[in-house]
Formats: sequence, structure tokens, C-alpha cells
Amino acid sequence: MTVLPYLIVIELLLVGLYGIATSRNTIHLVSCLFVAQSSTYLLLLSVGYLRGGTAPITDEIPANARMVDPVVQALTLTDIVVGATVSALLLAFALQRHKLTGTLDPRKEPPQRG
Amino acid sequence: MSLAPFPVITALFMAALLAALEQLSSRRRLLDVLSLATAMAVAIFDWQLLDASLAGTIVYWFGDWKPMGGFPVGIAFVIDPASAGLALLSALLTLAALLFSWHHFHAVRTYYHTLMLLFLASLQGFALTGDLFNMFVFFELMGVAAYALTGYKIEESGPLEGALNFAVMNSVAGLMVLLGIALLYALTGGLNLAWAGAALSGKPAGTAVSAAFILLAVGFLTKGAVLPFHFWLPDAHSVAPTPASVLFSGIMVQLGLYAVARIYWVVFSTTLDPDLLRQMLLGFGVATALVGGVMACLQRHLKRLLAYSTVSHSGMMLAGMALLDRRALQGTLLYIAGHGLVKGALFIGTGVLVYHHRSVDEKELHGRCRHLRVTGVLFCVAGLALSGLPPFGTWTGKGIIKETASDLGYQFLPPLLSLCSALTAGAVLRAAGGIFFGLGHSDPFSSSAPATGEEGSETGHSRGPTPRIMLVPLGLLLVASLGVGMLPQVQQVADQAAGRFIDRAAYQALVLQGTPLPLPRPAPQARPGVTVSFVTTAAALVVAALFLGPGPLRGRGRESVKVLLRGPVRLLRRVHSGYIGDYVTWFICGTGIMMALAQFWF
Amino acid sequence: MSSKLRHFPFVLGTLVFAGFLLRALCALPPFGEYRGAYGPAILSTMEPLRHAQQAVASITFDYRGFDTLGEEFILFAAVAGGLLLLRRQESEAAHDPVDQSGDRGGIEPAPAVLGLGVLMFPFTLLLGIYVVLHGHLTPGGGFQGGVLLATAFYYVYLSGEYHDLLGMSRGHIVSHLEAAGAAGYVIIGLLALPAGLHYLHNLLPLGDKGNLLSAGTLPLLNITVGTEVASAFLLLIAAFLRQVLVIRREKKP
Repeated sequence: MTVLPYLIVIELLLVGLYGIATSRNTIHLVSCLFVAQSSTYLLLLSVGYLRGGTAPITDEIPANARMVDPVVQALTLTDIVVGATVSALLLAFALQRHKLTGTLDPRKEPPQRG
Repeated sequence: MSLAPFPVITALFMAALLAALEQLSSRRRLLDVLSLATAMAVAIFDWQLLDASLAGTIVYWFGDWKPMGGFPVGIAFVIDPASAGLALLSALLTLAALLFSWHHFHAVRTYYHTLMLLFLASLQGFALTGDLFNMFVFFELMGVAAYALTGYKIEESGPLEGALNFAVMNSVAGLMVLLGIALLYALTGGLNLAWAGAALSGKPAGTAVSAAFILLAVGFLTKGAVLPFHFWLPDAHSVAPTPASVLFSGIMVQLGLYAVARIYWVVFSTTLDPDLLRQMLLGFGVATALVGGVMACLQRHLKRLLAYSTVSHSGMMLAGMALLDRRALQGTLLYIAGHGLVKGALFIGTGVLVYHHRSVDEKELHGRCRHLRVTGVLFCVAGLALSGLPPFGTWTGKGIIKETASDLGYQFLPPLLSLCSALTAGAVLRAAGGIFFGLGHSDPFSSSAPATGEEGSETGHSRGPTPRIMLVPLGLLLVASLGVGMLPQVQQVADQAAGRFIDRAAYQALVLQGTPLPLPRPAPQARPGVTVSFVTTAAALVVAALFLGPGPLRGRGRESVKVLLRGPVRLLRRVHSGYIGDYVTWFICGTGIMMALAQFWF
Repeated sequence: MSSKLRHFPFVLGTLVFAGFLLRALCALPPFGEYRGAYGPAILSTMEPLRHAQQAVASITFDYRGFDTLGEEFILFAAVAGGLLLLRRQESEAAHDPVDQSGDRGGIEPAPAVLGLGVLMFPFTLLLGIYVVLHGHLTPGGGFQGGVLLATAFYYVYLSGEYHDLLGMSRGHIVSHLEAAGAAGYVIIGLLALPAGLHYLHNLLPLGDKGNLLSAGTLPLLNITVGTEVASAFLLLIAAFLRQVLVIRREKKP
């Protein structure tokens, strides 16, 4: 099943995007964005995966052990931080907007059109 | 000691320092002085780097991680005239924005200055880096600072909506960039652009390669506000505080296009079929330019009008870039500089309006700003410059793009570009004529447009004449744009930048092996014709006159014109609905179309 | 667009997009057989060159340390932005928190909650410090440890002492720590420049592999990042809590 990780990547991405496209609640929307974001973690990690590989820490392991790619792990770490910070900002927008308009529904109180 | 890292780290360090000045009383002056000094220092660094890069592209490996056996393990800044020039442009625009906000702008504690400096740092890093993932990091830093600046005025719902749409669309774009990075990493094993290009060269373009390019391109084209990924831009640029809008429309959008160009030339240019790519990008560019131009004419909210004009001009730049030609690229780079400076001036002009009247609504301000003579005249000059009036920078840039397009056999492109310029500049001039000179009446199309009545005050008090310090950057930006158009040195730099930009073999050899190849020979000086440009400017005036004067939109023909245009206008307005769900839908459709085209063709 | 109309182009676009993305992903090298050059290049050089044993930390703070500088400042920007957005407006006033249920006099945390909070606070704090300090040896590091440190202070809130939490972040110490953490990374990178080396060059003594003080600047950078992340999250949590607990809207004029 070498396609399985990729299928899950696409599934997470689509679930997230569908949620954003149809969301009626800004907080739900932020969560959906995070779900979509998690697809990139999975893709990055699966791209660097080596079957039977161990964690890339060379402490007390046999000399010729196979190790998974550490680069994608570092990239994923950055990605997670980015996702978390962006959602903090988005939640702040949602909170202030709720205070102003009394709703979390992005379709209520229509913004500027045209 | 190389100056390469300083544009970024100076701005970052000063941002942290300013944030620590929190509890200082009477800190306002200090914040202004320090942030201006920082922007000035960054501009000087960029100037030096540009100067040095003309003699030869600079490669700077962070942490001294030079390539090991030809494989780049570290992160490199690759500073050629194009990247240094864009960095310099962003520093100059920041300088103008900070000058505008001097003392009068309502700065909340230290956050405004901190965020502006962080934004500056991200623009610098994004332009200078030669590493794909590092580009993503600065893309996100740019995003986070920009979202916060957009939502600056939390007392209104407009900025919050705009910031939310902006943040969600750009995060989705970041997702696509990341997927593209993952694909490219799996294919090439490296994150350095030069390495990825070297690893791909000579291989056939498979589905994975074309998908990687499309994902990266879609991500950065969202930043570049290209149809159908442009919807966030008018929502965000029209509500952001003036200094932020100057940077958004002046350089941030254009950096998105720059990233696509850079990635294409360094990584994909020998793998993907240039003819097909040219047609695809030209199509998207022209469509963007047209839609943006038409939408600009339909606005009454002045900042929104300018935002749509940015969309339109971004489309023109994409069209210029899409010719995939050295001279066209030279024109595009000049156009980015000329347009960015003019657009910055226009936004500062609207900032002056907000300062006096707390409104940017064309109808509400009609004839009320006759006393703002200097601003009015400068605003009109900027409007004319937007249409490509010689000898502004917009004229040389667009002139070169048009002539190259004709030479390459794309005869349809020059008239289209002229039309879009005339539409956007006409809309700006119409608004200026009404606001500053009280010309004409309300026209039937823009009247129905949305307008958020009261602009939140950006400034403390607003009595008396316009502070000089607000007009200084307005004038300086226009002078700078004149300089871009008139100085032959600027053209030579742009020519050298374009030559270096498309020379992927030299780029790879320099980054991976450290061996400089000979510089491209300078092309003969281009002097685009003035006639076409004057005709375009005249056409812009005609558009403005159509809206303002007693023409078909006013007299007996009015009803028939209205009936004829009502349908398309309503449709366009409906599509720009302001709902984030719709934007994501269009985004997905656009991405799907691009992926399909790419995979069938390449 | 009506919601039905909205679904149609979305489903169509998604199908096309997903189909081609899957096709592209299947054209990648097969899953589980990573053959890139980057990973091996780092795994083979980090021990001889840097006496480091944790490849991810080595990449994050050494090989690609400049990315992490940007990443740290993304968090910094988010905090500045978050505090900007969550500022108290003129139309709002700060009130003492009231119990929403109304039938209790004041807010009294249950003894079990209080006890658990008191128990968990030092434990989590220590764990966070441990994770930060050992970031270059074991999984973890400044980001993870910093979040743990901030979590420790979250226990203060959970055990009902949110006045302490809010008071802590209202003072300038936390925001100064945050700025210091961010600026510290920039400054450590600068150390290399007078020696004629490039920015962020790892020039401190490398020590012995596996020791707490080894791998050059890695522990220092971990500490700066840990400080920044912990105070950043503390500031953000406090800002959100203040919105919910303390700030109430005045009557609209």
C-alpha cells in the first residue's frame, strides 16, 4: 500500500478545504484550515520516510542503521509553528468580529460586495 | 565583511528592540525616529548590495555551510540586481510609508512600528533568498505581519472581515506552496533553487514535475492576486491603514510574481515547455488585467478602486513576465518599480483624504476637497502616471513590454495593455476630478458600489492644513518614479538584472560550484515610443471624461447603455461576493484548471 | 451564490484537482524508499563537523538556522499582531470576573483542582526546562520546551488563580523576555561576524558528543527560542483570557 499515505494527504486536504468553503462559523473555519494544514505535515514526513528507518538520533544505535530523513522533520516543525501562529491571529479576528457584529457566521453581516 | 545578511537582521533586531520600548513614556518620537532610521539603513544596505551585485552576483551561505561536494546543505542568499533592486524598492516604500505616519498616525503602543519593521524584514528576505523553504518562511512572516496590519482598526467590521479573508486565502496559498515544496523535495532531494534546477535539468517533464510547478505557482500567484486567486486583495487593501496599503500594493503583490518568475527560470525553465507555459500565463494575466480594470471603474470607495487597479496592473506584469523573454522581463522589472512608486503615492494621497475627512467615498467627498490643492494636483499627476504618461517609470516599463510583445508576434497584447491602463487610470482620474475639483456628477455604475461610510480615524486630530510631512513622501515617490523612467542607469540595471535572471546556467554554476560565468552583454538601450503612451493617457482622460462629463453615460443614451451593461456588471459584482467560502471555491477551481492544463500539456 | 450553487463548482474543481494531485503523487519515488541526498549529507557530517547527535536539532539550529530565525520572528509577529488585535477598545471596560452561574458568592476552585494545579505546575515547569536544555541531544528543543513552559503557567489559570496569571503578563517582564529571546537569536548569529565568518556560523567550542554543553551554539539558541516561545504563548494565552474574563463591553451609545 504505497499509495495510502498520499490518499490520506489528499483526503485531509480536501476535508479541510471543503470545511473552509462551506463553513458557517469562523472558529470551525480555523479548525478546518488546521486540518488542511496537517495534510502538508503528512506529505512532508512521508516523502522522507525510509522503510525500517529509525529516528535520526545517532546516540547508541548500530553504526550502519538506516535513518529516516531528518530534513523533512525540521521542515514539519517549522510548518507546525506557522500553522499555530496563524490560527492564533485568525481566532483573534474571529473574536473581535464576534464582539462587533454578534455573529461568528462569515455569511451573516455581508462584507463589501463587488 | 559582506553586507548580505544585514537588510534582514537589522530590521528583525530593531523590531525586537522597539517591542521592548513598551513602558517608555513619550516613546512616540523615539519609535518614529528609530523605525525611520532602520528603514533608511536597510535602504542603504540594499543600495550597496545592488551596486556590488552589478559587478557579479553575490552568494552568501548562512553559517558558512557552503555546498559539500556540489550539494548545498545550508541556506543561501543569492543577490543579483533583480533581487537587490526589489529589496531596495521595498525599503524605499517602507521609508515613504513611515514618513507618512510620522507623528500623526494613530499608533497603538509599539505594535505598529514593530509590525512594519517585521514586514520590511520579510520583504527583504523573500526577495534575496535563493532557497525554496526559506522563501516559504519569509512568505509566512510577510503574511502574519500583513494580516495583523490589515486588521489594525478593530473598531470596524470591515478590516476584520478583510483581514480574515486575506489570512485564510494566503494560508491556503501557503499550503499549496508547501505541497509544491514537498513534491520538489521528493523529486530532487534538495531545497536550494539552483540544486533543484540542476537535478531536474535534462529530465522529461513528468506529471510530478508539472504539478510541483503549478502548486508553487498557484501559491505565489495568490500573493500576486492573479485571477481567480485575487479576491482577497480588494477586501484587504481597501481596509488596511494607509501605510500598510502602500506596501501591500506597491511591493508585496509584485513579490508574488517575482517568486513565480524566479522559480520558473532557475528550476523549471529547461524542463517545462515554454510555449505552452507562455500561453497559459498570458491568458491568466490578460484576464486578470481586464477584470481588475473593469472592477476599478465600478468602485466608489477610493481605496477599493486603487486595490482593483493593483489587481489589473498585477495582471499586466504577469503578462509581461509570461512572454518569457529577456527584454520583456526587463520591462516588467521596470514596470514593477515604476508602478510600485506611483501606487504608493496614490495610496498616500488617499491617506491625506482620510486625515481630513475620515472618508474615501467618492460620492461623499465629491467637491469637498477643493482646498487640498497640492494633494489634488499630485494625485492627478500620479493618476496620469498610472496610465503610463512619459517620462514616468510606468511608461518605459510598459513600453518595453509592448514592443517586445509585438516583436514576438503577440499583436493583441499591446492594445489590451493600453486598454487596461486607460481603464484603471481613467477610474483614478474620474475620482480625482470629482473629489478635488468637483467635476461631473455621480455616474450610474459606481454609485451602486459598496462604500463603508466612515473611515476609522487613522490620526489624532485633523484640523488645519495637511501636515507637510504627509506630502513629502507623496512628492518623493513621484519624483522617484520619474527617475525610474528617465535615468538611463536604471534601464541599464534592469537590463543587467533581466539578463542575469534568465541565465540559469550561470546561476547554477555560481551557487553550486562557486565559479562565476561571464556576465550577460548589455543590450542596446531601449527607448520606447512616446506616441502610444500619450494615446493611452489620452484614452484614460477620455474614460474619466466619459464618467464625469455629459456623454453617453449622462444624456439620452444613458438608459440604453445602462441596460446593456447591467447584466455583466451585476454578474461581476456577484462573483466578488466577499464570502471566504466562495473565494476558496474559485481558488480550487483555478488550481484544478491549472493542474489539468499543465498535465495535459507538459 | 446560493449554497447549492456553491457546491457544484467546488465539487467539480476538487475532483479535477484531487485527481491530478493523486496522479502527481503516484509519480513520486515510491513511499518508504527515501533516496534524497540531503538527509545522508547531514547525517554523515553532523558528528565529525559539529559533534552533534540529534539531526533534527542540528538542521533546525545549525544547517538551516536562518529558517529558524524567520520562524521565531513569525511567532514574534503573531504575538505583536495578536496583542494589537486583542487590545482593549475605548468602548470597552475592564470588570472583575464574575461567576456566570450566579448562585455562588465568589469563584472558589475545588480543592482537588487547586491541589492538582499546585502539583503539576512545578513538574511541568521542570519538564519544560529539561526539554529546552536537552534539545540538541534528545527529541525536543526550544519550540517544544517553550510550549511546555507556557503550559505550566496554564495550570495557574486552571487552578483558579487567573489573577496571578493576568498580573504576571501585565507587567513588562514577560514581554521583555519575549523581545530578549527574539533579539538573542539575532545577536548569537552576529557573534561570528567579527571573526570574519558568515552570519550564524557555529563558532563556540563543540564539546564532546552527547554532553549537555556540546554542539556549539545549539544549546544557547535553544534557550533563546525557548524563552521566546514560552513568553509568546504566555502573552497570547493571557490576552485571550483577558478578553473572555475581564473585558466587558460598555453599553453602546
